[in-house]
Amino acid sequence: MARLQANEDAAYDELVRGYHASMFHVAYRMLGDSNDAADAVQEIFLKVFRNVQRFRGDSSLKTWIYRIAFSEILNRLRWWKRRFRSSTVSLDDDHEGNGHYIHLASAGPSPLQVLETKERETAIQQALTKLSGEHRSIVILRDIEGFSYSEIADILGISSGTVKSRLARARADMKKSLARHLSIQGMDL
Amino acid sequence: MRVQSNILCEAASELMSPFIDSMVSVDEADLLRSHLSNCTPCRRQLQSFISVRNVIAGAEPLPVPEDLQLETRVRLSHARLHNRRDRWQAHFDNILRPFAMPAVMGVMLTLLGFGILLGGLSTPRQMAAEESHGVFDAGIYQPPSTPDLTLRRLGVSPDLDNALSVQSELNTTGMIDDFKVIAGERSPGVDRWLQELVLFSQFKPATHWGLPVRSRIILSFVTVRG
Repeated sequence: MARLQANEDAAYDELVRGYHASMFHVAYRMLGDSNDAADAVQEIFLKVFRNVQRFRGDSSLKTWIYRIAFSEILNRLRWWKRRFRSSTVSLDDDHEGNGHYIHLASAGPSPLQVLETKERETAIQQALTKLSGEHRSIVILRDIEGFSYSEIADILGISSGTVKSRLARARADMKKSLARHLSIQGMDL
Repeated sequence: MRVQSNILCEAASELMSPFIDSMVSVDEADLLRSHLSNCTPCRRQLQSFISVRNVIAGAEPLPVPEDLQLETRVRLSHARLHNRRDRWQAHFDNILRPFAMPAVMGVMLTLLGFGILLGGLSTPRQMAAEESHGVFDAGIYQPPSTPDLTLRRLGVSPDLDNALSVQSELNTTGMIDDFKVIAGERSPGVDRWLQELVLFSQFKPATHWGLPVRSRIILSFVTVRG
């Protein structure tokens, strides 16, 4: 962080190299579109740069970057909501023009496994998209990114109790959305 | 509403999500376990919570666009460059602006002071004019002088009862252009003697910045008897 605050070129290169993929993942999971996600990632790093002098070290660098990321992403979602833009993800929008292929090693999975993986990804993304922005953030941060409740509270600026209750609600909603997929997979509901 | 163990199924359901994240207290965990041991639907529900979490956690990491990292670095680099330039510009302005006017005034006053002190604003001709009014700068100005301590006596010098003072105007070659007696008695003999003296006397002219200029000199004569 000291090197970032000293505006070192190498420090910014390391930052982008270390975080651009995870930023893209959360942005894509939240926004549902790879172009929007890529644009959001660039804006996130610009905001990191603009705010780096204000960082006081009261949280980890990772948590601080995620806080900026979710602030930017949730602002975008609100902006779209105000303009009545549809936030659903088309099932046909998956892989050819949108860039989020599921690349599996050619020697590994069978066509059936590829299909199952593809279906699961689509189901997860659709279920996430049905959640509100606040609930979606919490599910992504907890179940995909693996943050603790207190870190999520810090990132989103809410209490740990709120994280707990929103996560329970979001998982219950996810369970309903994924019911068909889970039953096909033979999982108990 | 089923009542199982010490808590209701609704309360058990609320504990399930934090339970699978190990975010419940020991007491809450015991209550839930106790409830689950007697409630099959809740056990099934907990299992589904775990399944949902595992499905979400097993989401494949998405392939990142190849040029995203490069584009981000380029955009960031541009922003940093602009920011650095703007900051230097602002820094430069903030420092220089308060000093700009005093600095300009200081330079002008210094130049003016040096000009006055060194007489750099005056030409030799102006200097001669100033000298003729008794105003000159002694620093750079060298007064006229004579190579000989005593002027050569030409012809027979008159006997002078009193000292004779003569104001002479020297030109740039050191010759006397004009003179007038300012003290002492004049007579035809004295005037003739003075004219001879003026005609043949050679002085070292006054100089200003090394250049000869017109000057004024006062000569005094006394008769020494012995």
